[in-house]
Amino acid sequence: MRSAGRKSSAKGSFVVAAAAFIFACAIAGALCFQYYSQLQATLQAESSGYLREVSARISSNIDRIISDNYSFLRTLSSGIIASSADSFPKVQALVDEQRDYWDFQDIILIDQNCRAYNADGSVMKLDNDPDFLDAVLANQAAISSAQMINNEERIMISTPLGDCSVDGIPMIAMAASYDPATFDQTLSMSAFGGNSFSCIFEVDGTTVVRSSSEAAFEMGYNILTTIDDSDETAGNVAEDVKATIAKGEVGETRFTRDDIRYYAVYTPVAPENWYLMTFVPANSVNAKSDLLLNTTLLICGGITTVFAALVAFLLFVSTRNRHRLENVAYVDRVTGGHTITRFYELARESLETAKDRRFALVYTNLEKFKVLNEQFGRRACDELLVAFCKILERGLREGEILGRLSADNFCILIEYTDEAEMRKRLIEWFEYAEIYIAENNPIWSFPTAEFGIYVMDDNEIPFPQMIDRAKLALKESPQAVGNRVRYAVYDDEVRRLLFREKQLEDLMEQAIPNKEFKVYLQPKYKLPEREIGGAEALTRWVSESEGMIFPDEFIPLFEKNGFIVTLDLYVFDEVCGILRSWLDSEKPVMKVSVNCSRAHLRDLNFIDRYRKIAQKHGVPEHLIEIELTESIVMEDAERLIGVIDAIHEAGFECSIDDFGSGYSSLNMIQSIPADSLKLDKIFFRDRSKDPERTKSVVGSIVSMAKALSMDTIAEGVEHWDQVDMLEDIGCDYIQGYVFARPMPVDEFEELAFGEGRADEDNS
Amino acid sequence: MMLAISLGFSGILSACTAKTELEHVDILTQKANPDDRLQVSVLVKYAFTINGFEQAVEEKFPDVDIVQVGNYTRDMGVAEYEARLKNNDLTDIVMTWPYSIGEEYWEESLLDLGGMDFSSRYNISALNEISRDGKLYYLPGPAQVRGIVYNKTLFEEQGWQVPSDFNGFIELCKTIELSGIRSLQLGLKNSEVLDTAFTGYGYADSYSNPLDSQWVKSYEEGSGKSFGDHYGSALDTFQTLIDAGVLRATDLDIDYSEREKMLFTRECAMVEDSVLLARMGADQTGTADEYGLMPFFNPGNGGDWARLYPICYVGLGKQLAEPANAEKYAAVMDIMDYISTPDGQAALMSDTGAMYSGLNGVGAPDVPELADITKALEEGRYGVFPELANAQSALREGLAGMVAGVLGKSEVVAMVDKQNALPKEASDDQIILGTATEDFTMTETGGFVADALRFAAGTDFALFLDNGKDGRYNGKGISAKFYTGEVTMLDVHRVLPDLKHGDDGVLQKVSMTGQNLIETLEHSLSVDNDQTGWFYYFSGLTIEFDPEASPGSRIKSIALQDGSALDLNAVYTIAVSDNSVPEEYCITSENVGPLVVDVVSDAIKEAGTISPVQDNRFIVG
Repeated sequence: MRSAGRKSSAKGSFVVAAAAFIFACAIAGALCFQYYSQLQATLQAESSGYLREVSARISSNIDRIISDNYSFLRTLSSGIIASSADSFPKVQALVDEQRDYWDFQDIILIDQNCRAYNADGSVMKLDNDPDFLDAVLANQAAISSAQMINNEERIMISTPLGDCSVDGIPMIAMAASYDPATFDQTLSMSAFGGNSFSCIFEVDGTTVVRSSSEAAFEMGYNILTTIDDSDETAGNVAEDVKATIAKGEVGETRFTRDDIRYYAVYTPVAPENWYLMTFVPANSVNAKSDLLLNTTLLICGGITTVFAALVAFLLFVSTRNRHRLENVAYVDRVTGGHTITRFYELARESLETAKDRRFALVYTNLEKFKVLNEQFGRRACDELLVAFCKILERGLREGEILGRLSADNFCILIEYTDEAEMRKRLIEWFEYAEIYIAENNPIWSFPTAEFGIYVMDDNEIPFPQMIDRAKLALKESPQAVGNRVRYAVYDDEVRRLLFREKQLEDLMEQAIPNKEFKVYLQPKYKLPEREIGGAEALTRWVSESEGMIFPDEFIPLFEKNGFIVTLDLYVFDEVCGILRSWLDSEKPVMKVSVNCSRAHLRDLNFIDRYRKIAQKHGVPEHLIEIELTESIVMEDAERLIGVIDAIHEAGFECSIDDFGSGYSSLNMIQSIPADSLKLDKIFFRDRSKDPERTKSVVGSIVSMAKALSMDTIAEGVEHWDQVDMLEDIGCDYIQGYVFARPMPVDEFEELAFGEGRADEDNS
Repeated sequence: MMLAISLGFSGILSACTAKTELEHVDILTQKANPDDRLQVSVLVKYAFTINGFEQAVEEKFPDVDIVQVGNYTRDMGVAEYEARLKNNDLTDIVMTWPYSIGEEYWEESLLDLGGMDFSSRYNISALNEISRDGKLYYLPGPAQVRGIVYNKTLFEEQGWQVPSDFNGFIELCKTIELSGIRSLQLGLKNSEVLDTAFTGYGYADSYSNPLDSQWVKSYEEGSGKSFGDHYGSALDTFQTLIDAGVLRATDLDIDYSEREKMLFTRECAMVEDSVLLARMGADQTGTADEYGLMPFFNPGNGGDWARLYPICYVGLGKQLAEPANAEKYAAVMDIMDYISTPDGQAALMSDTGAMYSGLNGVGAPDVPELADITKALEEGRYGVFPELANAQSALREGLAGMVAGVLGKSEVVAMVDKQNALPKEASDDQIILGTATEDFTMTETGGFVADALRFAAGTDFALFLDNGKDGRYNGKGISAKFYTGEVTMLDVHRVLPDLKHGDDGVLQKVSMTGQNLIETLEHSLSVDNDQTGWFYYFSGLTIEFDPEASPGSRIKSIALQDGSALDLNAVYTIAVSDNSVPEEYCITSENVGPLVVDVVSDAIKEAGTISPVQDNRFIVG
């Protein structure tokens, strides 16, 4: 959970970082790309220009070949007319004579019916090429792109003959056929490292002469259809090309065939309806420019990478620093888990993201952890905390958070359905703890863990207050689960108590001037005489509005809110007043003890106030005994000794209250210079316990106290057999209901001195 | 079982293992295709078979099954092919002749082959002839070389020499006639053969010149010219042949098949034909004579001409380019590539003997039979014999009159000019009978015809043959389908068979037992000694039928239309076209009267609107 929690915040910063990084890269990339594109466009324009130049050169070569052929044919025809060759043998002779000058296959005479005769007079069939025949009949020079002559495909050109008859047949034209391969050398003119090739086609796309170049792809009957069929993605190339051709213009197109990208430029050539198309694979055009482009691309890539690396480094450094700061605030030094600060943050996130789930805030601590600290040392106890933390974490589910509040106090945000479910979770933890113990076998064993549970039906109140309530619940109504877990749910009863506290707090300030706090005295009976030998001053609050309020209710509250100091001093003042009145009326003097809350002890000079009050009343200090509770001993023995010394110095006596309720050992008592020891009522509460055992325990305390010259006072004794027993073991005093309850001063005076009430009664 | 069927004859073949309601699909082949080979359908031209080609292709491409789809319809199958073009109902490959049919539908129905690699291997001039606006819809298939087939052995025995010109030919004929053997027997009883003599010997003068076709075009468009202006010399040559006794009146009684018998029995020395015939002598009569071809010797210089008879033009159905047919497209491209090689050309030639190929550098066939005609072929003196568009029948009539000695040149010219000027011969083809709401399949068409017969004859059932699959034709069966739109008489003629075997196509009412009906459906009748494949379309029945099974085990189930069982012993009446069920199964047989063509056309006329009856009567099981 801990790492997941931190991840979610890390995720946020990662997104920002990544976005910044991508943005930076995009900017760098875009600039590079723009530069690259411009360069590419320039290079392509140059390549395209070069291809057009090559195509234009080939085109002019074709034009030259054709015009040369016409020249030869015209020369020959002039020769025939001039020599009056009027028979086929004569024509044949003339043709044979000149044959070396040209590359023609056959010389053909055409009569006015367009019947064709070879020079030897044999009849031949011309293929039906209407344009050619029309031109011949119109006495125009003509070219036919495909004629089968002697089973060979030929190009045929013809020139008008004028007035000429052969074997009596009037001839209107002389034609010459030649092999389309005549164009081959020209069409295969090497450019682009021999990778370019050309073909001649009619304006409707049908092939006239194909390239025999090895680089050429196989061209179908129609070169434009061939291109269209090659590249489904290129759109209708044929139509585009035809549109340009219709205007008689030079054009260019691009397409892909068999995964090779081609550039093609088409140029008109001399014969009507003929076009030349020159092809070159794009990679040949781009061979040089590609190198340049690739270098550019590489440099651009390099710049982008360096830039990106720089940004990445800056982001890394700043992120790392932030993480460090976060660690200090967020990571608990002892457990490595969340600090309470982090806990609050995560818990808030969790509550916000899972609004439909019901959560509880659990406050947990380990009972008597301080004792363990003493017992096993700091390091072992840190280990214990780590283990406790791990165990708690192990039981956590998604959205649940654990944080350490202080010392052995942890806070858990936990999903809460009902108490039964909660108990299951606690049992689960307990089981984990047992497993932990079994696996790790530590020197310590787990102390009892307490879980105060505040169900968060109102998420508005701040976490610390929730923690208080959880603690409070624990204080009020803990229930046990197994023998090592206690828990309490903050509920209505707790709420009522809180309300009550608030009410009392509202009343308490005014209660002093109103004199609502009444001092009661509870007699201490001396043994074995069983006579009153002293008293303890106690307080009752008789509120005007609330009636009698018992100390159980208000003392813890006053201790918590500090009002106890005021109250203690008030009571002390009252007691001094009582003692004064006794002294003044010469009553038998007896010691009265007063409680001194630990709140006083924060100030070492606290005793001054007591002394001043005593002096104000002129009461001898030795008549007053100041009671300190045993728990103070536990907290700081050194300090306590200082306090007791101060008390003694002031002349007061000092007793340790509630001895035996805590964990102080007799050994510790040895070093505490108190005057008396008040045995806690716990020793006498349960009569079912073996009386002999009680006697033995109490006896040993009493004898120890005696050895230290301390008086012993047994509190809460309610039965006479206990009195006997205490008397038997040499206890000095008994303060308990068996003799007398705490009572108003006048009642006490009557009991102790046999006066007051009697007077009143008498009166 | 695997069965090849075609979806609405669109050429998409599919194999299926379940029963198929045949109303939506047609039986395209009766060959089993156990290996589930890719079926490539080929529409062959009229009455043609390509068994040799099929075998060669299937050997070359073992994964391909060539399925021949026949066209045995009236008037050389021209109307049928045009209807298929018009209705986009082509097979994968089409082999047609002549190529000029339905030009307005080419772009819609045929793939442009002009960009395909294999198109580069043909002579450009040959492709220029058949391309339109630079678009190439057909490849030229090989052409049969025809000339005068002569008995080489006989010539050698008699010391006769193949001549070198027209006069030499006349002299030769006279010499042969003197020996008591007929010189040239063309078999003029088939009137189109008169064209052969007229065109063959008048070719140099009147046909060889590119301007000749322009002249004919203007003549036919009614330019006011006279036939004699252009063909006078050809008629003179024809008369010369008659005068020299080369053509005789008695020839008019000799039919085409008789003349080849005469050749092989030395009753005549020469006929007009191809190398195929030149090689058939031994098979036909067991003669050991050898035969060769000589050209048509025309009057004048360089008058030796050969006749080219194009076998077919090869095109591809446009539906092949649809993405769903990618696999088949690739296979067909391979086949086309193969066709465009000398081996492939040889495969195409294998069904018709030595051929002239349009492939680059292949040129004239080099076979001994053609030795005497090679010069003409090499020097380009060969051509396809054209016909007059309007007046060919008048010309034939006139030529026959000349041969018979009753007509002279000027009378023939007048006859031809007269017919040429007449409005085109009135035909019932364009009469609109009704409208079809949707395309019929062949089975639905057969069902429609059978229904019409049954209702007209008032019989229990009607049977009508299918015209044959896999390159076989019985000339008695359904040959085509009705398509959406107007249904004309031409459509009825297309659908009904191009009758041969002297059938009249008259409606007959026969009776037979249920058992014999089953026998009839199983075995059909024997046509051309073939009793293995024919099957019937029918009315009044529901049949589950396996056309690939052997006769005797084809019917999986049969019931009357109303679902009741066929009573094997009961006698049922059945309407049929004459001679289309085995006589031995019929108890009675009577001609009801009207011709089937009238019955069907009346049925359409009466209905006004027709649509396929989809009652699942024909289940392919």
